[in-house]
Amino acid sequence: MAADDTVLPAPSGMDTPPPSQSPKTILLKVYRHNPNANAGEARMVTYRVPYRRGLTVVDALLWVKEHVDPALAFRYSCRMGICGSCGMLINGEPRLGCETQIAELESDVVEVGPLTNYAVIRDIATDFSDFFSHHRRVRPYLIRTENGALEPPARELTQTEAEKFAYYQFTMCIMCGLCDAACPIVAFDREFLGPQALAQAYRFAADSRDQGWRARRDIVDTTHGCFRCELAGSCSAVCPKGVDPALGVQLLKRAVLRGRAPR
Amino acid sequence: MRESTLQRINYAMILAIFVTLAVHLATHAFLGVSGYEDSLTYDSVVGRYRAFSTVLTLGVLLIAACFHGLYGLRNILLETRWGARRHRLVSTATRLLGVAMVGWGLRTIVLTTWGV
Amino acid sequence: MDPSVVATEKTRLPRRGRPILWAFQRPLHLERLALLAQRVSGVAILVYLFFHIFVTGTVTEGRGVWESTMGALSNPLMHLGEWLVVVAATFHAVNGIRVMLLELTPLVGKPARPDYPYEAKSLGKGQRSVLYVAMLMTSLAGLAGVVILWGL
Repeated sequence: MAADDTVLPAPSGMDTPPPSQSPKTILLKVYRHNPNANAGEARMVTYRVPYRRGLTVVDALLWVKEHVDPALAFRYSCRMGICGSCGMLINGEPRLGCETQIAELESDVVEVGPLTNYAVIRDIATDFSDFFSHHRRVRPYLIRTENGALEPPARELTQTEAEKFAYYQFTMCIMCGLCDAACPIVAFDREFLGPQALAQAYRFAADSRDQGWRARRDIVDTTHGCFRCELAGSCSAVCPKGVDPALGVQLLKRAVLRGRAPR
Repeated sequence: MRESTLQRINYAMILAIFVTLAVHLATHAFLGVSGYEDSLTYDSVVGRYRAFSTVLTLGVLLIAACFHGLYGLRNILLETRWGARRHRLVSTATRLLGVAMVGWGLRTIVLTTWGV
Repeated sequence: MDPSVVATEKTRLPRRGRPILWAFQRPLHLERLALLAQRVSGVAILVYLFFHIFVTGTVTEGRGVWESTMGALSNPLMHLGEWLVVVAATFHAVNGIRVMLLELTPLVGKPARPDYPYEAKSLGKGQRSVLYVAMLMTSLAGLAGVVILWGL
């Protein structure tokens, strides 16, 4: 690991070894599990994948899917770290497959598995139902009460630059689920809202345009709410977009203890 | 009771533990008596209980430590699937255990200070 | 068999919440290990407290019972246990201060525009320093415990 292990190494082509030293192939060890076949048996299958400069984990999985086994199941979409689909366990760590270059892993054997803390649907694809339901529970939308429920605002809602930066970093969340995968509390507690949902609760609580503080406070000030966070910090360590959900959760706790919206 | 209320009480208990535990450990390690072993003789222990400051320190430490410890245990148990399904049982059981531990400790303080 | 398939081996199904898996799940950074140590030390201290309340309660039974209880507990194993409790309590207390500072004070950081390489403020140098202080004080408490308990 790098000396400062809270910072992910820059996934640029500059870090890949020169062609004369590049391995021609790499070994990709992939978790394979189809609950509907093979008596539900789980296997680690090792594939030899041709290496080229700039090869990412998603590229390697796509090569396997195209040349060896079309049944390999995994999610991907944008291939540029913005859709949040390709979250997976890479050499034991939750990362985005499209943003992880094989070269930066500094290993000729790359292990790919489904994200921890999620039920496996098949191979690398995991069930995000709990994740999405926790997100929905914190009411992740601006709540306006002036015109009654469900009425659109009658005028433009303005905001200063300072008011925007009070919550802006938490809007960067792409819902990749890496934070919930890394969180040791989510590992045991299925009802815990999780760092993603709590950070989004803070995102809206801190938004000067929002009028739903009481409703959100009642959701997060519960037995499995924000106070179950115990500051492992793994969520922020793995977040690929700099959201720093741990910061959001601690600020949310402070707001709940103060009894007023964080503005 | 709201979770934030429990958390506020927990913070107060933590501060109380800092003060009283420091005094308690210092009494046994450094101040007033020569050596750790000497602080555990019957006369030394009973003699200390005669002082109101000891009674106050130990009483506060007992209540604060039991609350803090059992609140933490309750939180750990509530994380498990078993605990989350039996939320009331876990909370009640830890509360009863806390009452039992505080009760027994207060009995010791009262009997030693005013009884024995 | 496709020549690109090098090996196939059985593996375990991932089970959520396996204790050993949880304890050493990557990323294995210092703050996560601190949480593990905080929980282990907390439970250890609670167990000690439980027995401590009942042992000290024997003082109400009179001099004889107290002295025989103290005699029974005055052995190297018990002293080792007491030393472990002192070490655990020191780490738990100082790391607990770190946790409270992060929850209640600006030590945790302020929201700002996230710029690459996205250094997480909540895992910043400030709180890391407090964690190092906790580790240092735990070591010192260990040394002090050795001196006080064994007079070395």
